[in-house]
Amino acid sequence: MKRAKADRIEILQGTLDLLVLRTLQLGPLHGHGIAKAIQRHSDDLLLVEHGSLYPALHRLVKKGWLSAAWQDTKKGRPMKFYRLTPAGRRQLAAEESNWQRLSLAIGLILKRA
Amino acid sequence: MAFRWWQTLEELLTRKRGDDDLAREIRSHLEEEADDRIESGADPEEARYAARRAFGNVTQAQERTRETWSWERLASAVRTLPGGLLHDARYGIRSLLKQPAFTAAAVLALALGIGATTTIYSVIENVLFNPYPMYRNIDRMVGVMIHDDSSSRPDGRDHFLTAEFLDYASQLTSFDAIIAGSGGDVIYTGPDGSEQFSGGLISGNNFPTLGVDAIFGRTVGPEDAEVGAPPVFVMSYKLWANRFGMDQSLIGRSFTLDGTPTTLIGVMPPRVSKLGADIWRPVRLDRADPAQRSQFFKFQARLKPGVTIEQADAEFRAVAARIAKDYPRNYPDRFTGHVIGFVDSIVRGFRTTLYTMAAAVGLLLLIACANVANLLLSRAAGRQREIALRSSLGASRGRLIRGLFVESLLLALAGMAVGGGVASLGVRAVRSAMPEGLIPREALIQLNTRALLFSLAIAGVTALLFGLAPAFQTVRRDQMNPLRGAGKGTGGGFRGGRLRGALVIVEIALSLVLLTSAGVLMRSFIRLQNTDIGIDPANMLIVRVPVATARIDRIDDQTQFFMQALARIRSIPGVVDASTSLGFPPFSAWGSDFDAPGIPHSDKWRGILDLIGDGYFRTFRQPFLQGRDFTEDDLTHARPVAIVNRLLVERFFKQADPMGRTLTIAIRAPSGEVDMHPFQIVGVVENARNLGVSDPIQPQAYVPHSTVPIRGLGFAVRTAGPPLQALKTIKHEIWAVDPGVPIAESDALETYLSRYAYAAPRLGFAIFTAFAGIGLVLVVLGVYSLIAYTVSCQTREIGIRIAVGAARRDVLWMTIGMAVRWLAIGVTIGVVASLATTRMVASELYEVSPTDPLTFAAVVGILAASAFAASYFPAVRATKVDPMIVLRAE
Repeated sequence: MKRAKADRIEILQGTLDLLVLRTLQLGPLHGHGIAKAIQRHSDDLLLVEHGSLYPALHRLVKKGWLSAAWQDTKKGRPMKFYRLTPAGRRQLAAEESNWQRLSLAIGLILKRA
Repeated sequence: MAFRWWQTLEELLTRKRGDDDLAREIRSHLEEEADDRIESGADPEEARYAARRAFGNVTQAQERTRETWSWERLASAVRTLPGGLLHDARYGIRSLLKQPAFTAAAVLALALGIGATTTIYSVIENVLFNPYPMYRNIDRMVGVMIHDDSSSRPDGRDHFLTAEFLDYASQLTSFDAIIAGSGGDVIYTGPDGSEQFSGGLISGNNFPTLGVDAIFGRTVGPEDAEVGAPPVFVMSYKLWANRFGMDQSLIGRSFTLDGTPTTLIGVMPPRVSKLGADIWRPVRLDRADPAQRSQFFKFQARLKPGVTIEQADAEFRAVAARIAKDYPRNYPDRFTGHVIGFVDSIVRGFRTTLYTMAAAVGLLLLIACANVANLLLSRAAGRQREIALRSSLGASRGRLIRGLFVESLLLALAGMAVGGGVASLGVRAVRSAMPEGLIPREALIQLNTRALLFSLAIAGVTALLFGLAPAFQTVRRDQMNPLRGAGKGTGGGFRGGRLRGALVIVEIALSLVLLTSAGVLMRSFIRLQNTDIGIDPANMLIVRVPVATARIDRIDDQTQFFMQALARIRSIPGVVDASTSLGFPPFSAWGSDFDAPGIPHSDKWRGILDLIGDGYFRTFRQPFLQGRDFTEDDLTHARPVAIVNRLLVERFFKQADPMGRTLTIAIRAPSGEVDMHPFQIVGVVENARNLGVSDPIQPQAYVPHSTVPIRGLGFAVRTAGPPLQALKTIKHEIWAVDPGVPIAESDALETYLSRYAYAAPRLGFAIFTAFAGIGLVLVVLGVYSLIAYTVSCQTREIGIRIAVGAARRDVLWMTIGMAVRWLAIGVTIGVVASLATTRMVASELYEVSPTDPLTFAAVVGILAASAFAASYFPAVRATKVDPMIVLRAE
């Protein structure tokens, strides 16, 4: 269900990293796929400007939590796929426990704003 | 995230490829999105347009992605640096000003630490390391000393009789030049009358060997000391500037010195004041010259190239042992000859004091740094939320660190600026308070650049280190934790509390060490001031008059002059009493040997000899124990009678009654011969200090001044009112007897006492007290700020406690309890450390033990009270927390 743009909340940079990691938990995806997945799973609540994904992806690769490689999709188009590294999995496990607290925080921030 | 060099290099090399890769990736993304929309039924053109819109700004995405590549990040950081720095600086200043209490405290702590350290370092540098920059050859110069092994003092004799000197010169081979010097005031007779100046007699090679030339004219050289050379002299810069108006035309003119026309050949550079003199005349040491028979000259020398001090020392020791046999009267029973560095020989006594002061200031610097660190850490902990927010809103770690760095730098710079001011004040204060004779006259106490840089570095590093610590702490950890919770006070609790608590404990311990040292020094100084000198020094004026040239060889004329002048002085209204003497308590006149026929003794009898007029003991209010005082008759007839002090009787005569017995005293005749002359003891007086205020009293004998040839005498005058007011009249009366006779420096006895006896201990105690005081202030500041911060962190917890029924008093004690805990640990460590360190000042203490329990107890009490007071106010604030406000925020 599409919500009005006004309802969508700009996502914070740190949480973006976490969402990306989480999305890739189930398997490697290319940038476009990740964007779509985040949109889908958050019930369209979180808006991701597709372009803002790329700095995050490259940063995560730099941090060593993701690895990237060009692969051909089923359609035959070569896309750059990202997958979790073992370090990335560890990071995800650590961050998962903080996820609850983040939602509360964001909720509180919004209430105050 | 580490800055991985190899990755950067790789990226640098493959930069173009990276750009291409990214462009490809983004293109493929857009195509994919467009395909999706086309599949959902959109028009291809519209699909592509929509895909672009969904993507956002492609160029911006590309740029931001490039930024994550290290090289680009660095390049863009450098590009934006100037503007960024300016922004950071503005933000930093605003941020610092928003918390004025913190900023002021941090700047103050830095300033005090920097100021104190620079001051002491400046003194040490100029006094110990380089007090003689004007002497080129100072590194190779040495002094000597004959050290009495039974004495606890570190110094010894460095002046030798002319013949003795020449014996040493002929037998020592370690030196390529030996210089001689002797002090001797000179009377200048000018058109306006006579004046006395400090003079020095120097060997011809003195200044050339040291390596210093005259700035105008030429300096005294070996040729001026030859037999038959015309009499010449050089003047000090100070005298030339102050007394002779810097008149260059004076060079080459003739001056009458001690009755002899002498030509001025040059002016020495500033800061040259060898032997403390303003006028230097050449002298040639001649063992055959009867006038030099009884003169002593200071022995200094320059090492031959390739000879070490140790080698010279060994040779000197052997030679001294040999020569001592020819001059038995001049050497103690057990002695060692030493060769020591030139500077060393002069500052020896003061060296330990300076090192102790250096240690003390080091402690102060540590306390200041701990304080600053604590302040910065507390502030940082309070800013975690701010930093987390900034970082999650897009500020990169680099920019955050840069911002914190700039802020810390601003703080450090402010501290440095104020610290520099404190240092310059401190140096000025020390310079004016430095007692005479303690350090080389030539040493210039001024702000030393190296010292300033050193202190700036230490303080700056501390500020930067602890200012940046939070950056590495918070930015690494996840940003999310600090964001939870509502108000500032309900944050993560007392983060990193252990480090800060430890810092406060360290501060307390160090400050305790400073306080105990200051405490024992203060007690020692008070004891010193209260020491009974043996006389009543109040309202006493000492007027010194050298024997006029015309009367130098005529004892009768001398005696008559002094007695006539004394009589006139006594008749002045306002003069209670007056007498004459060579020395005055607590300073002695001459050291001499004694003997008493009929009393066998194996040890040498050494003591003090003073030459006095009649009425001396009455004037000084020194009580008689037995016998009588000298009469005017004794003086006129130069009767060989003597008065001795109680110690002399106890030490030499033991149980025997000294009255009427003969005491032989070593007296030096004008010819230079030293002979034992017999005197009859006619009186015994109570002991008075005669070797300074704190050193043990020596046996002393007093004889009439007419029995011994003198070069000058002092009038000791007791006045009804302030002593100096009578000086003019006294001078008038003296001149009435002999117009134009030079009158030397005269001052109140208490001024001499203050300047020579008390000044050095007073300086040490004042400096230590200043440091201890500053340390205490810093500790109070540190405890206060830390407790205040803790309370603000724990507001929530406190509110809850009060809400569930805790009494406000319990909250108070809980807060103060923290301070008490720090205090307990800090004091324990501090006391243990103090027990060790106060021993270092033990040599300066007078009749006070370095572990004096009273001082320790008092100091601990003061520190505890201060810390308690510092914690009280924030604790009271803690009790005022309204639980309703706190709970509502949950």
